[in-house]
This record gives sequence, C-alpha cells and structure tokens, in this order.
Amino acid sequence: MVFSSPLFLFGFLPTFLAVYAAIPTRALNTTALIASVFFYAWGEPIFVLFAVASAALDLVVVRLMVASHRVGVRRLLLGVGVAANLGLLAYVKYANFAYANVDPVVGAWLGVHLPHMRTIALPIGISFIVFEKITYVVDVHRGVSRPALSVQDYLLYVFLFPKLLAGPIIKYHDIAPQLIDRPRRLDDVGAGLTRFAIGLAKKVLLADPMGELADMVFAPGEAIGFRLAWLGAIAYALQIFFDFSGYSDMAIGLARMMGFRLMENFVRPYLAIGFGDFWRRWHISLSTWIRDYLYIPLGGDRVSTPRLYLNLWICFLASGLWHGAAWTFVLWGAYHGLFLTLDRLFLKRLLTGLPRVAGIGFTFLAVTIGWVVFRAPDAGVALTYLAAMIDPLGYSHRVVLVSRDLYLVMAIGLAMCFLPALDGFERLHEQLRGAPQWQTISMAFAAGLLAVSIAKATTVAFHPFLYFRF
Amino acid sequence: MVASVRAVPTRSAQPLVRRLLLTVMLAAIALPLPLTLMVQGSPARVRQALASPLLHDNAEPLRRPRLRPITWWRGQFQRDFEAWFGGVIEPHGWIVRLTNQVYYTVFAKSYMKDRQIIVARDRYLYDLEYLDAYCWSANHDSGGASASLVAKLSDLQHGLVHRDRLLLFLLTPSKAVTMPEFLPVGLCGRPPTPDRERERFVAALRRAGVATIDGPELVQAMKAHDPLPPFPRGGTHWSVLAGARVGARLVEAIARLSGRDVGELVIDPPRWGAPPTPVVTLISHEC
Repeated sequence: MVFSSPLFLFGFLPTFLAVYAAIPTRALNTTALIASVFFYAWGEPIFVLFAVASAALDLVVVRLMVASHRVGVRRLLLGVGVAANLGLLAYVKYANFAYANVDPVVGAWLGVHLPHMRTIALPIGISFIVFEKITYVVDVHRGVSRPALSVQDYLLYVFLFPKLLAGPIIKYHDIAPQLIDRPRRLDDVGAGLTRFAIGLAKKVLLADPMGELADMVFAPGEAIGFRLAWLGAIAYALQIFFDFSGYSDMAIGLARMMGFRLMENFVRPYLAIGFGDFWRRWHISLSTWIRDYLYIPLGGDRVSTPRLYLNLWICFLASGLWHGAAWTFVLWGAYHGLFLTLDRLFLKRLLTGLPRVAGIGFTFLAVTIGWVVFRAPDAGVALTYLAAMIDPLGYSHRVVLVSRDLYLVMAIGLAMCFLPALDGFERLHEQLRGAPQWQTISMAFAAGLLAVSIAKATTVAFHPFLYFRF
Repeated sequence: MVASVRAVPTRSAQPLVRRLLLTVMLAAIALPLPLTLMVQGSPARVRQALASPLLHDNAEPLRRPRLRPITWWRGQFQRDFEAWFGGVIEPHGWIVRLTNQVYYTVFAKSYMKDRQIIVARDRYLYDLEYLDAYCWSANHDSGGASASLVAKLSDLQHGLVHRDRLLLFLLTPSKAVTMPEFLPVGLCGRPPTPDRERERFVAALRRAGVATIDGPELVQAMKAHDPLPPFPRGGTHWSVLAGARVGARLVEAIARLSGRDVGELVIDPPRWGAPPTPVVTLISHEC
C-alpha cells in the first residue's frame, strides 16, 4: 500500500486515525502493531511471516545474550543474530544476482551449469527492515540499547508502518522511550498532517512529473544528444530527491500523528559542498547506519591513511549493493567512494576555497552524473549516456516531446533545491518562522497542497516510490 | 482618512484557525469513505443523484474482487481491490474531470491511464506514443526491419496455407500519420515519410503473396472526400465511421479469399450534421 494511493489516503489512514484517537492509551501500541502488520501483510502476505519469525529469532538471541556473562558466548550470539539477518537479506535480494554472475563463470571453466534457480521476488522494504533489526542486536551487545521490554514493543519497532517500507532507518534505543510513553496531542496531529501533506505534494506534484521526463529520456532506443542527456539527468536527480524526501516527510508526519518523533533524513542535500557534506545531508539515517555499524567497526578514522581510504570504498561499495543487486549500483557506490577519497585528499579544501556557488554547482553536477549510473539499466547504457553528456556537439535524431508542465515542475524543483543557498534566505526564513502567523499560514498552505495532491494522486496512474525497490 | 481593516487573524484567533484547517484536512481524507459507502448502499435513484459522473473508458468496469485465501496469498486480491477502490471512491469522477480539465487547459496535455495525450494545433489531440512512432520515420530507414517482417509474414502465410488457413494482414492508421497537419511545425526535426515507408512495405507484402489491406490508404481517401475528419479532434482513435469502412473492406477481403459467404457489413450513409464529440468526453477518461 503506497502512501499516495487512494486506498491508503481514504481507507487505511482515516480508519486508523479514528481508531487510534478513540482507544485508551494502554491499547495504543497494540493498535499500532495490528495496523502495521496488516499494512505490511497487504503488500507482502507471505514475507510478513518470515519477517515475524526473523524478529522472533532476534528476541531469542538478545535474551540469551543478556543472560550470558561470557564474552565468547555473547559474541557468538551476536554473530548468529547478524548472520541470520544478513542471510535473509542475502537470500531474497542477492541470490539471483549471485547466480546470474556465478553460473556463466562455472559454465565457462568447468563446462557444467548450476541447477536452475527460480526468480525470488524482492519483498518491499526488506533492506530497511533488516538494517533496523541488526541495529537492535548490535546495540544490545554494545550496551547502547536495553533489550525490548516486551515482544509487542520489539515487533512494533520493526513493523511501525510509517517508516516500514523506506525508512528513515531508526535505532531501537532512539524509539524505545517513545514506545513506553508518548504524547497524544491534537497539535501533533496537525503538525504531522501538515508534514504528510508536504511530503505527498513532493511525491505527486514534483517527483512523479520528473519521473515522466526521466523515463522518456532514459527509455531504451536511439542514443540521445547533449541537451536531452542533461535534461534527463537533472530530471532524475530531482525525481529521486523529491520522491525519497517526500516519502521521508510522509513517514515523519504519519509517525508524528501517532505521537512518535522520527529522525530527519534529508537536509538540503543539493546544497552540499563535497561528497562528505552530501552524505551528511542525504539519506542521513543510512549514512549514519553505515558509519556506526560498518565504518567504525572497520577502524573508523583511527587507521593508517591507505586503510582509511580502503574502508571508505568498502563502505560505499556496500552502500551501493544495499541499494540493489546490480553492477550499476556497485559502480555508483565506487564512484561515491572515489569522490569521498578525493574529498579527503584535496577536493574538499579546493571546493571550500571556491565561491560557494561553484562548490555547490560542482557537487551537484558530480552527484547528478552519479545518478545516471544509478538509473541506467546496465553499465553499457550508463557509459553511452555519460558520453552524450560530455559531447556538446553530439547530434541525435531522438525526439522527446516535453510538455510545458514538466519544464515548470523542473524550474520549481530546482528553485526549491537551490534558493536556500542565496544570501539572506536563511535569515528571511527564520524571520518568517518567528512570525505569529507562520504556523497557521504553513498549515493553510499544506491544506491547499493536500487538496491538489489528492486530486493528482486520484487521477494519474500508480507510481510507486523509487526507494521501495531497495 | 482611510480606515483599514485587518484581515489577518489576530494572535488569539490563530489556534482556532489552525483547528479549522486541521478539520478541513482531516475531512478531505476522512469523508470520501463514508460518502462512498453511502452512495454504494443507496437505492439506484438516490445513487444516481449522489454519485459523481461516470467516466468514459473503453475498459471493462472493475468489479469488487472476492477475498479468497489463495488470492490473498498471491497478492491478487490486494491489487484488484486497490484498483477497484480507486475507481469507486467518491468523488473520484469529479476529481478526475477537474484534474484533467486543468491539465488540458493549462498545460495542453492530459493523462489517460498510463498514456499521455498531447494537445496540438487547433486543440487536436494526439497520443504521445503514436507521435514518437511518427517522428521515428523521419530519421530512420526501416527497410531492414520491414524486409525481415515481410519474410516472417511470408513464411507464416506458407505455413498457414498448408493447414488450410488464410492470412490477411491489416494495416491500421494512426492519427499522427493521417492528420499530421495539426502537429507543431518542425516537431520531428526532419519531415517524416511514413507514406513512402508504408507504400514500400505494402508493395513488398503483396509481392510476397501476403494478402494485405492498406488501412491508412483507405482512411486518407476518406479524408479527401468526407466533410469530417476520420479522427475526431477530441479523441485519439479513429472514428466509428472510419473503422467501419475499413472493417467492411476486411469482410469483403475475407469473403473473396475464402470463397465463403461471411455476410456483409452494411454502413448507412453518414449524417454529417451531427455535432462533433465534445472535448469533455476526452477529459473525463478514466485514469
């Protein structure tokens, strides 16, 4: 069930909110858990059983870990918990990819082929679910988290529907106090619904039209020319940002309506100067997860310089693979790893020494080039596309009809991304936020956006969120 | 001296206004379900008055799926239910009409299921996919692909003859090919040459012994004589008359090739005074 679908907007959400508002406080978690499991089972009727079983294994492993005082046993249990989660992810997400790459090699060397492997359907949100479950096991082992007080609390942490399918990836110890006690205020419902409306508008009014344009340009066919290549790449850069940050806004807003506070996932990422800065602003819950559960265990900054660069590459190759089982994602991860290394070597100093607009512009263009690799179906297409982007004299017969609303949406999207870079924007924003009418005006604006977004979502065919597939 | 009245709510009024806005937003998502249940559960006459207008569509109307364990486990029930729910939720009909009207008026485009409609000169409508195909002919020589297709059809023809079956190949026209005069000048870069391509293709088919009906040629002939265009301004498919005329040729050809009496498609002389299809028919397409 997609947040922008009529069934969610007019069926699931109002029904849930009505029940949630009517029940006594002691039944809040039970209600939220039932609704969340139903929400997931609606899209993944079989995998929900595996997810529940896997969560049960986490609980058993953690209980045994807490009960044991022997370091070796605790480490063994940690290994079992992490391996079980990674094994689940590896099977459903990477088994087909591994088979497709290994089978031809085995066939070429040994002249035999591996037994046929059926295609495994990727359960939506699996990467997010598994990463959250791993944080629980690791954090309890580290002593950062206390074990869940009840099975219900842990299952609600895993299945909480606002963040279930595409994050933000939350840590158990961040949400545990809220599972025990959280406010139920009308102000939170208002603030949450306002945030949800803004996210819905980002998705259906900005991301989806940019997706139309990107789909037309990236569609298989004849090679494209310079102008079209950049148009498509920028459209995709806007699509993926508004799609994913729109989902995050909706998730944060829905959770707020339930009294939960989730972490922010995006902070104006296209204003970043350098790739390190970009990853502090883009999908923050994933980058902090990789930092805390991969980069630091690999040695963090306290290793030799060559090892540090290697670790950065490992982290971003893993980040690439986390996004999908395809070589384009590995290439995209390597590309970001390369720029992060260059950042540490000289690029960050160079970019911060330039006028701000140049630093932002360079980073945006470099990130956009990375998105081409990310979006392309294979490396060959990506290379052809990138070749078109660097050849201003290149000629193509390809004709793509771009309707004028798409240019308008692109202009609005770019303005939303880059206007905050202007001198005085922050000051003006702060002044407006301090005005007594600000909250009311923003709510009225959100109400208007909600109406327009509902109209668009009801009219135009289904567009799933991009990050559901990761 | 001019007295001024503050329209902005005072500080003390802010919470009240926010409550009001919250109520409006909650109503926007909460009211459609009870309204739909009320409409669905009402007697036919009441339902007709309450329900939003029916949308024009050439697809079968969706039915509410039945929940069975197997359809649930396969996810089929969920997919069908979402599609059905999206089609019956009130006021779906009004929303689709309004949204499509806005897109049509402001942005010269419309959504129709997963396709896009472009509004061209004189507000003639074209399906984007057909425009892409039309422009493709401007820059490509499809000779190789055509030869390959002719060879395949010829093989198929021979295979079917051995099984005592007939093959009749019908080319249907697209609006872009039939009525390119309403397309923006220079749309495809170079002038497309769909007629030359088609004529070569049809000649090759006939040389290979494949019985062929050249629909675009027939429709071009109608266009030259009929007072109304074979493709209506407010639609992307050919008119019923154009389709029927080509259909009549198809029936004739089947009768001639098979030597059997397969009946006759009789078309009454058209009455040209009928008003053209209103544009609203297009913008109320189900999406």
